[in-house]
Amino acid sequence: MKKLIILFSITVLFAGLVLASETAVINPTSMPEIGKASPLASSKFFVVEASIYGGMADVLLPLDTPDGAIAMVLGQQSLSAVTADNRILDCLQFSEEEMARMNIPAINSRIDLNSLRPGKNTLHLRGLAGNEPVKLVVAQPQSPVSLEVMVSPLAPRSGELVTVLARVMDNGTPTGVTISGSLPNSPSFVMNDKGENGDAVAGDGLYTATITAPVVDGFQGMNIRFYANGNRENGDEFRRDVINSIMVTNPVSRVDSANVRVDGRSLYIPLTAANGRFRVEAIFGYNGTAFTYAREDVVLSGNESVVRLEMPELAAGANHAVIRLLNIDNLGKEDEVEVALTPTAKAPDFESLRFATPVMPDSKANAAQKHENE
Amino acid sequence: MKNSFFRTLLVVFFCLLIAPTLSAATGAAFVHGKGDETLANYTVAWNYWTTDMLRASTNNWAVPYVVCHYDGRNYMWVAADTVAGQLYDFIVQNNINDLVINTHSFGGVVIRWIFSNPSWDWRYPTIINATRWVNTIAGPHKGSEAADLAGTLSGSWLTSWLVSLLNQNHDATMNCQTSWMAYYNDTWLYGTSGRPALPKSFWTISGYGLWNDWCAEDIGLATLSGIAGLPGEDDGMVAEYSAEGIGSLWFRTKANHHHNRRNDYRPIGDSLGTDFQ
Repeated sequence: MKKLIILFSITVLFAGLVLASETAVINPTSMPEIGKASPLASSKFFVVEASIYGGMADVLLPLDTPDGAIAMVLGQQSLSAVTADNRILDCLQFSEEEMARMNIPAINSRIDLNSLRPGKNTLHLRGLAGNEPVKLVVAQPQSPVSLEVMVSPLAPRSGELVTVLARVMDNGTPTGVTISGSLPNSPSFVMNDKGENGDAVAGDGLYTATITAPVVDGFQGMNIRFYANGNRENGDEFRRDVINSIMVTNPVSRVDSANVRVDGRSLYIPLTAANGRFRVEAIFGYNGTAFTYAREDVVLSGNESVVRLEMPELAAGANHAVIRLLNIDNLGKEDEVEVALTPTAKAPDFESLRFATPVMPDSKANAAQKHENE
Repeated sequence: MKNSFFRTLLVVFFCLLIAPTLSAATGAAFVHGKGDETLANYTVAWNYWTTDMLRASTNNWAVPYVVCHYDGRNYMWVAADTVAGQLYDFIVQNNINDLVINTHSFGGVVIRWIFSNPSWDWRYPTIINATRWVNTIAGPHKGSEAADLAGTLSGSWLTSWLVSLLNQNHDATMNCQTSWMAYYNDTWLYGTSGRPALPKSFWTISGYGLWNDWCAEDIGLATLSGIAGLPGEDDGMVAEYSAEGIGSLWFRTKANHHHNRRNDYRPIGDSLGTDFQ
């Protein structure tokens, strides 16, 4: 009989290990922000193109910092000469399969622009193939001039307003700055620093635009392209291009946040009528610190529903939660709300919840040592 | 007599239930990064790593291994389904209960999808439970500014020869853009700040070298890095802050993105092989 109990216990133990967990402790940190903004996109490069005539093209390049500047001529395999200011520039053709994996031609030419002077330069390209305009990406890594752009929120719903913020960073104060943007297949928009149409402060160097998240089919990530040009304090012209993105959801359901309630260890979350598969997740926090999490995947069949989320024991000490409704069928974020909770237990000791740093096994530590002085 | 018979039957039943576990084995899996559709071919995926890398990473073929192969253009969740099928079959057929998964580049994001979404696919829990840990080399866990550059060069504002390239449908590249990964890290993936921890350890290897052996690929990677402006140190494709964006840092290497999936410029494979010593 003893042997049976032991064997049964071992079986139950292994069976338990295969179940997926739907609650978790979070390493205490700030609560997620409703309507979180995108990462800051920053660029010191711009894209320029020129028409090809008889295998030749002249490309106008405004360079503010030629030191360390490089140009990449896209897709040209037969570039025979590059000159500027009556000098031959170093040009190196290369093949990089990683680029081909990213929608950039694998074979390109790299031109070092170190020897050019700040200001307007003309590159004369010879030996070009094809009739389509030649395209160059020009970067000035050592330039203090960069275009920075952020969009908020990163994950809007169709029809929601998105605030776009952009600025040109430089050592001095640039003048004559124009920053515009465009979504694919949409007219461009011009950003303003005049203190109007959503711009907070006129002339502070922070340019603003407000756009409306387009109607999409379900969920779609969309790149917004930005262009900036102007003059540095010393009069040198500059150009910069950058992209940032919005991840747009056309929602089919929402959280009825006014009727979210707690009963014992359960959080009841009413959802509006919809069809499909959804994930409801809740991040529980105390005074702005997130520390535990729960989620449930549900199937909605066209009626209003109330999802019961089992709260982790730790969540009894939470005084607020961020609830998200995610669409499993299209990976969109349908809704995101914050609700107040009444704690029924003491707030957790966050220090005791902090994740311990994993101990590196000896085999890995020994291997890591060999790479220390690479 | 009857009790004795049923007792014996129960003992035999439980022994059969746990017998597979008692004789389970250690194994290695390899998940490549993004690319084109040819990576769905096993031989192409093998050559992505090279024979010497696979040899060294398995401690001279000491453990059974699987080289996963998926269409390198796919979104992470599509790639994950293909990889999950191969990992699951490998685990079940070889009775693996101690799996080390080695990933390169986007392959790390694909595996993170599996480990963050155990309820997505019935095979995922088996894979997660069987895994000891994951070694993720140069994974764009917080995106890649090189992918952002690619995004800048894509889109309807381009001339036709580039538009034709877009027909290749490189969803994986879009997945790797920094804002796209910020979204997925905030919603569908585990392992970053404010999200639940991944259920198994992820050991990261980050690259900070560009000019390795001055071959043609080095020129391309160094050019890409210079133009895209990856912040901090990078390996030409993935900045270290991104490669170290989840899990625990194992080590840094000067091997660039071309070489850090190989055992040539630096003995990355030899280091991976220490997991089986």
